[in-house]
Amino acid sequence: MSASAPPRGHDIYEALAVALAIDSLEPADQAIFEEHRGGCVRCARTVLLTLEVATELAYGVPDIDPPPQLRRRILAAATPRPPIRATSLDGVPEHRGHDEDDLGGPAGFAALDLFGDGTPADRAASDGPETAPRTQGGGPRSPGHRRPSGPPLGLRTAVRTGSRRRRIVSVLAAAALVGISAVTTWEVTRPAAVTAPVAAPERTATLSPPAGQGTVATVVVRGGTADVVTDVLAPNAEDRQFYLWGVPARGTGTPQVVGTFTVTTSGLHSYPVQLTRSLEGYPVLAISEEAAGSTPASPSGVLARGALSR
Amino acid sequence: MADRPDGYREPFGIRSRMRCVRTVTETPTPPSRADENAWSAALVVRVAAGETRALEELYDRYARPAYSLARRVTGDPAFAEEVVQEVFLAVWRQPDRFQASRGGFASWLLAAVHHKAVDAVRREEAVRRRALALQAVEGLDASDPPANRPEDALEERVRGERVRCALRELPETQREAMTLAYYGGYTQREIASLTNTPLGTVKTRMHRAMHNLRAALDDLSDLEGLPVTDDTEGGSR
Repeated sequence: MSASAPPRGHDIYEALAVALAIDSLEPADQAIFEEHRGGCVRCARTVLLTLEVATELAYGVPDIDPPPQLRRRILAAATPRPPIRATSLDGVPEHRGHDEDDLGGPAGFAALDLFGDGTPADRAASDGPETAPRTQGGGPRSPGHRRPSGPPLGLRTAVRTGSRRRRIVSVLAAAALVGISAVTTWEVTRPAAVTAPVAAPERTATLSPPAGQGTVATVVVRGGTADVVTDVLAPNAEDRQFYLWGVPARGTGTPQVVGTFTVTTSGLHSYPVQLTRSLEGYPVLAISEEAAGSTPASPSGVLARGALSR
Repeated sequence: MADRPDGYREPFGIRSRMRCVRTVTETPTPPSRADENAWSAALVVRVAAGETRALEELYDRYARPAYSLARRVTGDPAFAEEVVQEVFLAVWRQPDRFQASRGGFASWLLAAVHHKAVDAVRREEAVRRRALALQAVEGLDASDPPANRPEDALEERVRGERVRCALRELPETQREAMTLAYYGGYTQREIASLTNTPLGTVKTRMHRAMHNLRAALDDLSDLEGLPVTDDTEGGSR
């Protein structure tokens, strides 16, 4: 069998994305990937597709029943605690500090930490077992698994850290995953979507600040529905909500409200848009925050905007 | 083609592939992944509400694949228990780490298990791990499920057989690279060293292996397959 040629061009990064998703990325390569990954939809998608395959690989190992004492030990350690955000789990509580049993890494569909906390460089400092029967080599806990939430503003554009860069890519990954998953939102907020057929996104729009860079949110359109995957869009006040505007081509009309959505949690989350109008004829989408239930004729202030893919 | 009555198994090759196809086509269709996702997501909601019974149900459904994966990666029962315990307790303490909008619970849980298992073996870095990883490459073919499995293990068996078939159909070098990486917990550079192969070649093999696996497991999602370059090794399909 002939030798394979080394990857070239963008394949270099996709090969690294594959390695990242299955915990095989070298720390040295992580730096290379870090340089590239910001905003790369192809790499984000590659990670997500690889994770899907990895799930199947997990089922490919010979079945071994866990010892009965493991079940008992886990249930004994699951001591009673108060409910955690009973209405929605689609987020990370902001009060939580440096936790003691963070899953981290590609496990982190939670914050799609695929691109950050769980890479081999961080793993070197990952936490050890807490109540396991054997404690070997538990190193110091990896720092920064919990990123502090930003200021309670409608748009936290001031955040421009490495973590921020990871989150931008995470939004793209989340947008791709919205297409992969049959579940577009937490079932508490949209039960009908839980068992909806899988469908890939038809169109997406990555929205950035009008005078800035970076992703504020990504709109994912699929099958007549739309979701907004937030990045740095903070929750709206109770008496306000976000409006999605369709911006027509120059000289062909004025922006129109095409839908509204409510953001309940800081960070990377997906929210359904209540569409009030077709997106057809609007090559650009924009977001503003307005009084809930109002019918503004024009946006009071555009928080972010971006072109809708065709 | 029927299996030989004396239990002889062909090594990887065309006969194995034919048997592989037969096995897959005769197995029942697993439950819908969307249904399972909805079921497990509902349980996580109950876990968040503080219901230990829900944690039990999640454990009973997923502990076996989680433990099996941890055993494979760590090669050590105690480490595997440690990993599974850590992950399930994290589910109990931080159920909000799982976000149903971004994938199924099984994917999330098994990715967590894999990540923690790789953590464990890299902390240990025992010489033993080398041998175990090589066993991982060869051992996947000798993984017939034990008899008298509970009914709820049917889906796991079907899924397991599908992915084992897909692995068997990979070119040998791709299979070796993927199994060392995923089941052995090796980095690409370590795989290059172990197999005396240039690093770039290892990366290419893994990339192509993932593409081929995805093509073989073609019902994962509706997204397009991974873009790849020309495969000088020849595809498996």
